[in-house]
Order: sequence, then structure tokens, then C-alpha cells
Amino acid sequence: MTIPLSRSEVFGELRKELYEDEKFRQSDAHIFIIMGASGDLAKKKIYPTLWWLFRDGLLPEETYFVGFARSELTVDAIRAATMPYLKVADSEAERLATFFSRNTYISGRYTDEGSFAKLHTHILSLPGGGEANRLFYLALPPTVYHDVSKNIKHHCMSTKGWNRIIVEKPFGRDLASSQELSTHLSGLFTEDQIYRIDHYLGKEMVQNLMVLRFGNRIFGPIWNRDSVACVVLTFKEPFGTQGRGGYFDDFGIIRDVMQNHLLQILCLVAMEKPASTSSDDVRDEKVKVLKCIAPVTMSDVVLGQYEGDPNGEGDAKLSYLDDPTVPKGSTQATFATVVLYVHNERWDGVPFILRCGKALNERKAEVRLQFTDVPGDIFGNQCRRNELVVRVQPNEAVYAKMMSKKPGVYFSPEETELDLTYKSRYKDVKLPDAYERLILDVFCGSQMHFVRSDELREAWRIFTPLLHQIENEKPRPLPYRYGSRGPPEADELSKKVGFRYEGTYRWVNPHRL
Amino acid sequence: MTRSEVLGRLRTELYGDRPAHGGGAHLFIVLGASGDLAKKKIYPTLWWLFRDGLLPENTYFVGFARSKLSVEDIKKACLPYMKVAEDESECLSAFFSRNSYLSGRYDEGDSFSQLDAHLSSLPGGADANRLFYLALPPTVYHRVSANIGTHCMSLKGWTRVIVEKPFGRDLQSSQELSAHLSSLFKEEQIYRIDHYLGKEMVQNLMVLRFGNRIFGPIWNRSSVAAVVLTFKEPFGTQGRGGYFDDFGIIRDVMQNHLLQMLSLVAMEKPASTSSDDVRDEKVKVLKCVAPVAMSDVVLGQYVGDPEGQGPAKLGYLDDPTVPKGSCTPTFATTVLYVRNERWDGVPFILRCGKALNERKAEVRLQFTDVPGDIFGERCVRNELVVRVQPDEAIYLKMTTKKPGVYFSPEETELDLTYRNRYKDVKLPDAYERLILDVFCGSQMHFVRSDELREAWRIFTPLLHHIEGQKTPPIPYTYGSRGPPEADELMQNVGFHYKGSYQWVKPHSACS
Repeated sequence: MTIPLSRSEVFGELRKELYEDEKFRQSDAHIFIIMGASGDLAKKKIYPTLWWLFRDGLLPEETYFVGFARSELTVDAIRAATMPYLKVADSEAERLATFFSRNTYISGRYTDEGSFAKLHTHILSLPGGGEANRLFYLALPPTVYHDVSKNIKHHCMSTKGWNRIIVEKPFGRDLASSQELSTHLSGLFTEDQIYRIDHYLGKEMVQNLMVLRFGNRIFGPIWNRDSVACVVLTFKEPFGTQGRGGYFDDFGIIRDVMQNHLLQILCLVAMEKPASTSSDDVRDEKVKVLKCIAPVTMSDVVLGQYEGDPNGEGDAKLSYLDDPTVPKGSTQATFATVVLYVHNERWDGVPFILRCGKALNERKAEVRLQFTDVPGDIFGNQCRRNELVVRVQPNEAVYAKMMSKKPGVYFSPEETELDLTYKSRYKDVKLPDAYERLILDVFCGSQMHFVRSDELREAWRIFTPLLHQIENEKPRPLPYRYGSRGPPEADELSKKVGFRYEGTYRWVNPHRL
Repeated sequence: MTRSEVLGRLRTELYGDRPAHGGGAHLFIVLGASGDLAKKKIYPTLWWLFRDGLLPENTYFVGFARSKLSVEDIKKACLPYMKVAEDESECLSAFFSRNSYLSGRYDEGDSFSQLDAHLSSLPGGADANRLFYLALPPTVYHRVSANIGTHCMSLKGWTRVIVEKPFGRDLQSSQELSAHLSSLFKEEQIYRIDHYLGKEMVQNLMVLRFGNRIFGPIWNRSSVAAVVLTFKEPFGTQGRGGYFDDFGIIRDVMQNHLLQMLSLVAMEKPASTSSDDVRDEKVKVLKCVAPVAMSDVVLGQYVGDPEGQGPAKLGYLDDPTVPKGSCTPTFATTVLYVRNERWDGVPFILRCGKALNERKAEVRLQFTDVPGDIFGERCVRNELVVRVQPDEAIYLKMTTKKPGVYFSPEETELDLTYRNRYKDVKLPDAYERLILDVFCGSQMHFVRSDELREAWRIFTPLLHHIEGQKTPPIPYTYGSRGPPEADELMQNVGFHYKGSYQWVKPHSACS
């Protein structure tokens, strides 16, 4: 093993922290089965993630990987497909060989029980296979979930070790379909076996929300309707559907980003302090806060669809409807701003503004709490509202926008910030990919960063009436230019519900000065 | 070009208000023009303000002292401290052409009649506004102020008198001086300098506190565990111990600078930013502070470090000007309590000293523990730190998720370091701001008579006790943190010092 010394020290410490847990004993065998091993997600995300975890010694020693898909493939073919995404350093060639020596591949049909029996036999043949713990990653289109999950249950479960199923969104397309899938899964597996991925829950700054909120005395008294004027949760991409609009058109921006990622972040911002950091105590609080949110009404919504920019470069010239895979005349939204309210004691009346979109002016995902005005102002209305901003991506940071005396001979207030930029403060720290954390969590049996069934149900309850109304009425989304901020009506909505955008302030990277 | 734009804007901001600048002349009289303060601070400051065009157009400067000097002599004495750039020599000549000098005796009425005649002879002098800066030893304050009052007041314009500490040495002597001054001048004519009130970060305390919604709900006894106000110097008395020995560290630093910062931290929001509204609140909060009890005090005196370099080898008593066996403290930590609704029970820890391990002046609010902790007691207390000097900064020490694959808390900070954030901003010297304030008639950053009285009321019993009892101070090594008993006192009253955290200059992390 050619792991550099200091890094292995770090990982040694980490292994201790992770593996303190009884349930995750290093000596047990673990078998990781990738269903859909020939697909995009597998080659671009899953295999690379497993490789990185393996390389860094973060997986239990006796771990084997089994790919399963319909195609007749070999491990070498898998290797070739995934290699461009593995980021292998020269010094790691030997380790890589070891990794692939732990890999096998089985082909079979998702609806065919015999294929799964074959899979099971294969698993048993691996070292320690009979008693091994098993993780099944369903990197599959939703159309085959039912059959695959059923077949796993009937043919592939470990009898001595534990079994965990990892599923990816989409989890249905509305409340009814999601409940149906959940019912199906819970007919086969217990909740502690089901790991629903929302990869935002694996991001550094999203995980940090809990620590920021509950580990700091100073935020306690101000994290409520008395001090918070509004909360804005943002996700912006600077590019369009890039030829994959056909797939997107079936879902739309609300299902793609808002009903899951943004709503998850909202939970973390709005929830009460849990009784402990155990998975269920945390998720109990998330579900509780979601229960206080009424379904979104159309009057609190602005929808947009991007149009090409005639002055733009390349892709920017293309509208959503120019994408050949998008149905003609589609009214699907590529942009949405929605206002939610949490009707509880802490938040009653505070607007939670969720906004997301493709083909906007920048790449950004952030959480922004805007605080109320200073009461009894003595500075002649020169003070602007405080804000606490957590930038999830790019360029992880936390900063508090606040007023300070204008430096120099003056005695008037001006805006500034107290800043924590990760790239500077934690320059040498490797921030792992979301999938690395999450897959590691599955090995450790930690479900805190996975979506529970009731959480999912609540998330659909909130958005389903809106989605159905949009599908029935097909309202025309407002056009906005590729690369812009989105339709101005969205800013008007934010302003109307109480968000104040002064435009006087721009975050300055203090370290770039 | 850009600097003059900035200064132009500034002049508008300062002189937008009529009274300071009516086209009339201003006369600035430096009493004690031959002394240390004059040459090192006052003349250089006047020069900088003149150079930057921040003074009213028709301003003339008059030096007065006993020695027979010429303006040339003054110029020579000050030049080393004036930082004149090459392209400024013409401006410098203009400055000195506005200067004149008179010699005379501080206790002689005649000298001051002559001074008055000279002032009236200057252009616009008869109607001019007059500022008198008493850069003098306290022994002559009485005479000089009386003579000014009798002979040199402006008849048509305003007269303002700037005085420096020491303002007496205890409550009684201070009250006596105040009574004397108030018999001669009105409160609005008296400008008592505490130069800490001219520092950027000290002035910022009001804006931070009252301009930010997020601090409102936590600036009180429910969330604040302790407030620590610190002043540390890394050097000793450097051969001037004789002068210091008469006063001690409490009079030198604590009763004024640190107590001023305490007022700004603890006061209620004033009705407005007018000088008297602000000072009313400062006086009000001081009234709630009881005199310091001996049990809340640790005194120290530095001894030489046998392993030290140069002056560090010398103890306070090794200074030949210090009386043998002196018990004067060069270090003190005291705990004050503000007995009002906002602060009852919260310790305000004042600590200051010479010959310590670093140069630092800061304000630190330590907040209480997180209630109902869910992170296994691994969270340390939040702190808001305002570093007054060196290296002006504000930072919030707080808990974040340990970055990386972990899910445990660790300490970090939200930081604002002026040197980085405001890289091109010139931060003026405290005296520049303060003298400018006197021209503008703004007294917010000067000490009012009742403020001064309260400050002495709080410390006088302690001072008398120490001097009466000749309380032996605890020895501490030159260059150390001071006597450990001081840290113990802090822990006892509720300040938690873990030592696990060291502020990291974030910008040094990127090369």
C-alpha cells in the first residue's frame, strides 16, 4: 500500500472515529453490489467513489465489489469505461490493480429471478461471502425499481450480515407515485435498510448547517421570527439542458432541484434542535418542521423558461425549446421561485424563498438568512440588514454581512463582512465529494444524511398540488434570457414577501485584495 | 487625484455643518510647544491635517513655552516625527509660514496678555476661533487655565481648551481640577483627551453594537459570560520609571483607557449620536459600577528575565529612576461588575501591564455555553473579539463542522482583518481624529467632567488602599503573560480559557 504517511495518519484517526461503532467491525466481509454497473451514474460517480474510498483505506479491509447489468461485460470493460473519471495518480497504479482485483461482474436481467439467484450464488462464492454484509446500490432507471428490489429481497439478502439498499431519485413524480414506491420498498425492507440519496446532504456546507446552528450560542437567540426577516435558498446553474432536455422535460426544475435539495436545506435551517445527533432524532425534527408547511399555492410561485441570448456564445444562443429532444411547445419550467411558510412558533410569518434555475448568470448554491432592521436606529437610516450566508458551492464559505464604522476619519456605518472562506482558512484540507461521504455513511450504518420515508412523503405533499396544477393548466412560463438573473417577476415576488435587496453590497474575497 | 477626491468628500462631510467653518480664522495655540508631546504628537498631527486640507482655510498655529525658541527650532525638533514626503516640501513651507512662537511664563498674567496681543495681530485674529492645547505638566494646569480664562479668550469666535491626562491622581484632586476648570470654562469648551477614544476600533464599538441587528439579542447577561478588556505592552519603563512610579499602571491605563472601552461595550443605546446623548449613557453605566474591591484585584511588578535580551534582563526596580523598594504595580487585573438589568453578575475583567509577552489591546466578549448541547461537550464558547491594536480586526470565534469526512465540531472564526479588507484605506492616527473633532466642535470622543468623576470614584478607594498598605505586587518575568494569579482570578469569576484556539490569519493560509 503506497499511502503517504501524513495522509494515512489522518485516515487512521478517521478510521478510529468511523469504526468506533460496533456495527462496523473491520474484520467482517462487505460486498458492494452495483445494480446498473454499465450505466452513466456507475461509471461517473459510483465506481470512482468506491475507488477513492478504497484507495484511502476508508473501507473495511474485506470489501468486494460486484457489478450487475444486462450487458455482457467484463471487469476490464468496466475499468475502461470508468477510468477517465478515476483520477489515478501514477503512484497509485498498484493500489488500483488491487481494487480491480476485488471487482467482479455478473450480467443478468432485472426482471429475471434466475439472474438474481445467479447473483446470490456468485456473492456466496466470494471470500467471507456467506456471512458478509451486503450493500446494493440501485443505479437504475426508476422503471425497474420494483422488480429489482423485489428480486433482491427474494434472492440476494445476506442471512448472517446486514443488508442495505441505496436508492437514487427520482422517487416517484408526485405524492401518489412516491407513496406507492415507498410502500413497495417497505414491504420488502425495513426503514433502517433503506438509504435514499439526496446528494446535497453529502455536501460540506449542508452538513455544516447543523453544527453552525446548534454549536454556537450566539445564533440561538436570533434564529427565529423575531430577528429573521426571510430566508433565501438558492440554486443556480449557468448552463442549459445541453441536449438532455428530453429527460429533463419529464420532470421540470421543481422536481429536479426544489422538492429535494432546496427543501432539505430548508429543513436543516428551520428545524428544532434534535434530542441527539442520532439519525432518527435528527430526521424526526426534519419531518416535524415539514409537517408545519402547507402546500405551495400558485400565487407564491414564479415560473420561467430560458430563451437563447442572441449575443451569446455557443450554447447560450439556444433556447430550451431549441433543444431537439424537448417536445415542441413545451411549457416546462427551467426556473422557479417559490415562497413557503413554516407555520410554527419559531417561524410563523417568515418567508422561506426557494429559487432555482438553469441557464442563469452564475453557478451558485447558498443559504441566506436576512435579519430584520435595527430597531431604534441612531445612524440616520444608513444601516443595512445583517445577513448570514452559507455558500454551499462553489467556493465553500460562511460570512456574516454586517455594519461597521467606515474606516478612516469618518463616523458613519458601512457594510462589511466577517468571513470564513474554506479555500483560504482550510487550504490543505481535502473536502471529499458528496458521494464519498454518503457511501461511507452507508458502510457505517449512519442514516442521518439520507431521506427517510416520512420525510419524502412530506416533501411530496408540499409540492404535489402545485405540480398537478401546473400540469393541468400548463401556464406559460415567463421567458428569461440565457445567462441572466431570471425573470424580474421573481425578484418582485421576493421583494413583495419581505426580502430587501439593496444592491449596495458585493462580497469581496478579502484574500484577493 | 484619488486622495484629494477622498479628502474633498471628507471636508464636505465634516464641514457641511456651518459652525465649524464660517470663513473665519482659527488659531491653534500649543502651550508647552517645546515639550515632548508637542514635538512628537501635536505638531506632526497638525502638519498632517494641514497637508491633507482637513483644517479650515485660515488656520494659524502659535507655540508658547518658557524657552526662547524660534519657529526654526520648533521645525527642527519636530521634523523627525513628521514623515514628510519629497513632494510635500512646498506644503511644509506653507505650514510653517503659518506658525509663530512666543515665549513666556506659565504663571505670569503678562505673558498671556502678550499672547493675546499676538493672537489678535494674526490675520482675522481678533474674531478668530481659538483652540488651546495644554501640552503641559499637571503642575501648571491651574495657572495656565486661569491665565487663558483671564487674558486669551476669543471675543467674537469660540474658545476651546484641550487638556491631557493625568486629570488629578484620585477623586479629590480630580474634582478639584474639574471645579477649577469649570469656573473658567463651560463644559462645551473643555476637551479632555483620552486618545483611545480616537482609535479606529474603539470608535467602531458603537457602530458594531448599535448598527447590527444580530448583536442586539445577545449583548446582555443572558448570553455573555464575561467581558475581557486587555492592554499589554511588551516593554518595560525603559528608563522613565521615575515618572511612572508616581502613577502606576492603574492610573496610567486602567482608570481611563480600559474603563472607556468598558463604557462603550456596556452602555445602553443613546437617544442619538449627539455628544451629550452618548456621554449621558456612558456616565449612566459607570454609575452602576461599584468601587473595585481588593479581593477582585491582582497586582504584579516585573522582574528581569535572566535569559532575556537587552532590556528584558532588567526588572522594574533595576530602573535607576525608580525609588528603591517601590511597590508600584506594573501589572493589574481587576474585575468590575455593572449592577444593572443588562449586566448584573457579568464580570468585566480589566487587565493591563508592561513588560508582557506581546503588544495588544483588545475587547473580548465571551459568550455562555450552548444550552442543551448535542455534540458531546466538544463545543467551546463563542467569542467576539475587537482588536484595537496592533493589526485592527474583528473576529467571531465560533464552532463549525470539522471540514472533511468528519461530523464533529471544531473552532474557527469569521474574520475581518482591516489590513486585508481595507488594504488601501489610510487609518488616521488617534490624535488626527481627535484634533479634527475639536475643530468641528464634536465632543463625543472626549471625556466629560461627570464621566471623569465616576471613573475616579470607582478606582480611588483601591488606589488609596494600595498606597496606604503598600501592597506588595506579585513578581512576574519580563516577557511573560503576567502572574498566574491573574489567570486564576479570571477563571474564578467565570472566564473559560481553554488555550486550544489560536487566531489564524486567514490570508496567510494562501500564499
